[in-house]
Amino acid sequence: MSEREVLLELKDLCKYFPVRSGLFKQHLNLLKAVDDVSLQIYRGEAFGLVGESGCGKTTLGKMIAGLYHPTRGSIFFQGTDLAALKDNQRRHFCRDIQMIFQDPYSSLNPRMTIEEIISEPMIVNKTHKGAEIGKRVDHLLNCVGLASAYKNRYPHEFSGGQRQRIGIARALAVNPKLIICDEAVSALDVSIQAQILNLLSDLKDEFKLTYLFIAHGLAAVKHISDRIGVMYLGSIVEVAPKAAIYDAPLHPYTRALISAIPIMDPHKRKQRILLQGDLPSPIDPPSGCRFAGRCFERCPYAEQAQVLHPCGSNHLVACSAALERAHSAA
Amino acid sequence: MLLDVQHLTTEFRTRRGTVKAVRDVSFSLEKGEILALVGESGSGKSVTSLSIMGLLSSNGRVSSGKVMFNGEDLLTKSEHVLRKIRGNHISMIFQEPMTSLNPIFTVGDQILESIRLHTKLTKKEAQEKMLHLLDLVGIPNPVKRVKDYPHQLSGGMRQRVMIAIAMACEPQLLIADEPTTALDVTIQAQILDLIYRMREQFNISVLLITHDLGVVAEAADRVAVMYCGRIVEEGKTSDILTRPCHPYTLGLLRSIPRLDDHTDRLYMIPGMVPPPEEVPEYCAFADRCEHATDKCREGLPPFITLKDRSVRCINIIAEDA
Repeated sequence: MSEREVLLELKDLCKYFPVRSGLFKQHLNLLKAVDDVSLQIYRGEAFGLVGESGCGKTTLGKMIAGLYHPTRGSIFFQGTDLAALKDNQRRHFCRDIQMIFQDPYSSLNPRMTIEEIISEPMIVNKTHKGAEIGKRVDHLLNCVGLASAYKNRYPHEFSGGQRQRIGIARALAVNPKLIICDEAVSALDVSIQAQILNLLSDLKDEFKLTYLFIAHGLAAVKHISDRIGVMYLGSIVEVAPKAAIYDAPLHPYTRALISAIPIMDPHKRKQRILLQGDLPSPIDPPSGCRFAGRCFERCPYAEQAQVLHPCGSNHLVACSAALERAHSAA
Repeated sequence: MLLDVQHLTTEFRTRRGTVKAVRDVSFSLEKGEILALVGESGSGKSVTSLSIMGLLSSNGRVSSGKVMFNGEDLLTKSEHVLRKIRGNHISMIFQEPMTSLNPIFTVGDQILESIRLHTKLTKKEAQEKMLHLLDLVGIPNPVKRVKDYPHQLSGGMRQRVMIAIAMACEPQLLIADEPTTALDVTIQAQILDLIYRMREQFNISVLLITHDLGVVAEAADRVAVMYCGRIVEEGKTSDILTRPCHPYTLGLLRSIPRLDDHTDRLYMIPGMVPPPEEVPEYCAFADRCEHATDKCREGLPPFITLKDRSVRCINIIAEDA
């Protein structure tokens, strides 16, 4: 990656959902699913976004794909602010940003044949015409490792891994620039996960794609990502290249996530960092440092809101104590 | 020996004929031991546990084999006797704690139900026991939490409540069917830690059913790997995970993304698990195996007992993972 051209830039992106509660639903609360997220994704990279359920990673992905309107902030895609566009203008960008979903069983229409499913985005976006469409369906099926003879079958005739391949072919149909993979392999068996992860990394080179890879565990995104962002309770707490995240994580939450990954070798059963408690509710997030309630480090900054600060090259972390440690070690 | 499963075969009647989900499975479980049954979806690991509990759906039946629990065959017991054993001696926790708790009763009511049904404690004693149990499984502020309904608790807390219910009658055997699959990694670590602590404290045996070899490495003393309804390799966790002998175990281990490995491509097992009605009568893994020879397709490989494990493969590979 010699040229570091920014493909997607998020600036102070927020998504708040109104939640009504109480007698006669009079009491209005805001659920801050995504709160002030700023992020850059470079062309041709695979960016892994990791966090536990409820941290807002899927909401972030859906905003980029245009499935949610942001409450505040901007989404610059190749220099255009998608958040400021009207719906009919925004549609032109749909073909550039495609999504692959978690559940291969519910994301394919059971009444459509595979050919209809894969050709639909080409017809809707008017990218291909007539006989071209049929040819392209055959080509795409071959690309994702399915025989083109399958194209008249229905989704229920396929296994989970095969359906995920169909979902990938559908996403590729309109020549997108960015593909958002929302937990694309979580629902699959281990041996099939490996097949799909390898397929995605082959396609990345072949179609010159950029990936935003959303997952709840650090192990799954390791092979495919170049850089990784860790999300906690609506905001990003650490962004760094893959090697730095796994070998020298700074934020206590990242360290806990890495330590929670089971190690295959029972002889090396390590000292785990066990986080206490659950993710706090995003309706009433703790003031100051959001991680303070579950943090195992004692630091004087718990009362202060933490924002991302650069620490070394390409490494951002939202923890004052970790920054201090890194500086004193250097 | 607490549990001894011998030659268990379970079949289901379907529209496409009778399908065998579990084929000639044998294993045993000592007191205080954690045994993991590991396999991909459709390998028969959950059906094995349901067969032991006598909880198969109406189209399923155990066609042969024995399930010896404390020296008695559970398969010959009447439903009335089984109900006494379930809960009192064998408990089970499931993958999705939301669907296994009743949404219209408070968690306190549900724990009390289990205690009052199986013991002769008075209401007051039962209440005390309930609070003690919740404290034991690490639920903060139990006095307040017992009035909560399941939807008010997080996934990890619900699983803790399930474990409290399962532990209510101090069972000898706990069957945990994918107890951490629906949970986040940090919560998974908490729950595994809890199961481990329950074993230490009460010396219960645990049959842990999972698809995740990471969970096996963390928690189990012994592991049995299942493929297409059969156990293909069985032995101590440390032996199996560091030196797998069956090509399927090796393939599974190599296809998991590991933190300490820096290659760009993951290893993949070619092909797919065959559907249950098409499982061949020879080695079921032969068609996906890179070591397979014609001999593998001649008949079912026997269970070969080595000094540290049993393997169902005729050309055993020895490789350090």
